Amino acid sequence: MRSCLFILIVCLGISVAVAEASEVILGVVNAVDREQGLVTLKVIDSSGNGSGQPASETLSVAVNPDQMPDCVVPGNTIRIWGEYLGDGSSLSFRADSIRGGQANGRRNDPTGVRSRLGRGRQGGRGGRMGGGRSSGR
Amino acid sequence: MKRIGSLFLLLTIGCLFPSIPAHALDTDLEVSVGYDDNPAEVDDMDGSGFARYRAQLTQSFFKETEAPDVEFFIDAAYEQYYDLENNYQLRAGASLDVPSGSDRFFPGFFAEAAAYRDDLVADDERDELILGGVLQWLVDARLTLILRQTFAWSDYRNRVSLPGQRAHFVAGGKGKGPGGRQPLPVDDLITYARDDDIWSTEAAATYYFTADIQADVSVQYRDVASSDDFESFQEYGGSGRIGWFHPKVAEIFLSGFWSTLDYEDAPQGIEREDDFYGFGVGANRQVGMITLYARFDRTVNDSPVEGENYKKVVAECGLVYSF
Repeated sequence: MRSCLFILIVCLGISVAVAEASEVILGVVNAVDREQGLVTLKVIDSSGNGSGQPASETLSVAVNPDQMPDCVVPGNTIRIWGEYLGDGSSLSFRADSIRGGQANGRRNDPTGVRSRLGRGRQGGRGGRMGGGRSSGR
Repeated sequence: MKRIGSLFLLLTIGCLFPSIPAHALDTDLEVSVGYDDNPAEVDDMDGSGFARYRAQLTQSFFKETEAPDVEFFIDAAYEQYYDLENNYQLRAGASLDVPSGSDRFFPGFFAEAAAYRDDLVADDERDELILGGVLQWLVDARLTLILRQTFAWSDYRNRVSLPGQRAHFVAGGKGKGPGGRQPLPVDDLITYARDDDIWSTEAAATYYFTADIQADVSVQYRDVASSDDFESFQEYGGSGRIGWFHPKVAEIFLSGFWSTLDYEDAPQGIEREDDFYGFGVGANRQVGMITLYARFDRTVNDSPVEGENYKKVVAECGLVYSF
């Protein structure tokens, strides 16, 4: 048990140490052009190294059309990592990575992977919600 | 089962009603193989290889409109053990994400009905109804907080045994006769009817250190009020998960959990407090519409009640085809 906690703490420490200073933006998708790879975003929050805070609440984001995730649809809240193009007053941004900001109501799974990997046996303490012999996990 | 039938009917009606703005039906088909060294979760039992088959259908409505986002799902899974008896389950449910008027707060509700059948441990067979609410708060560009409140009602189909006697109710292995232990004479076994009311409160946080490194932590409190005092307890626990995600390589993750279960009563007046903990490591890789995965999980239950101590290791790999 102690070794599990130790491993997790070490991993979290390493993560903090390597946390990159690239910009990350939280915003709501206003419009999408999947063919051109352009997203218009209403910015809710941004953080990073502070070199390029948006000068406006609306931002034009360039995304590789081949790497446009399904979560980029109007109305959805998303997180975008990347960098501002030009100087800090520029209103355009180049996206390197995009994640859905909002999980489905019944699960906490921004990537959607865990929800697809439904776990098996529901008995015993392995039970998903109520479950099993001792109403397990 | 009537509840499950009703939900399935709703899903079918929704799919057939063209005026409702429905998102495309999402289908997940999963198959996996693995080895579980203690499927029955008892202190002395043989392991077995297994294969798992699962199908899930999810239908969303109003997803790109101002209306509340509604989602229905139905999920069926069958777990086949090579040397032991099998289990299967059917789940159906719905979730509702309510517009809050805020870009940061996302309240939602969910309901689910489930039926679980187990030819290995008849004690575990049950029908279940789950209701809950969740509130997500996008605190900033890197942090999300989640508060989730759940109520579950579990109706067990069979009479259950006393703590510590579970192994006597484990079915024999395929072609091996009684498994685990020598069975006690039926007259020596005490059994109870069981249904549980379960309240669960969970607070969770997701933090993105980078686009590729994500950490999840949660704390949970659970109160289980069972018709059988030996199964009533309060649980305090926490869990953590850290994942490294690279779109062209894989997601690799480490996870761990720990909880203490403080039981209301135990045989022979024992003050029962179990420590239940474990860790896991795994990887997922997306290749087109297919997700490949492998995982290794180890769980331990430390209990002062003889027969309730067990350890369990599961190794599994498989794929999910999503379309």
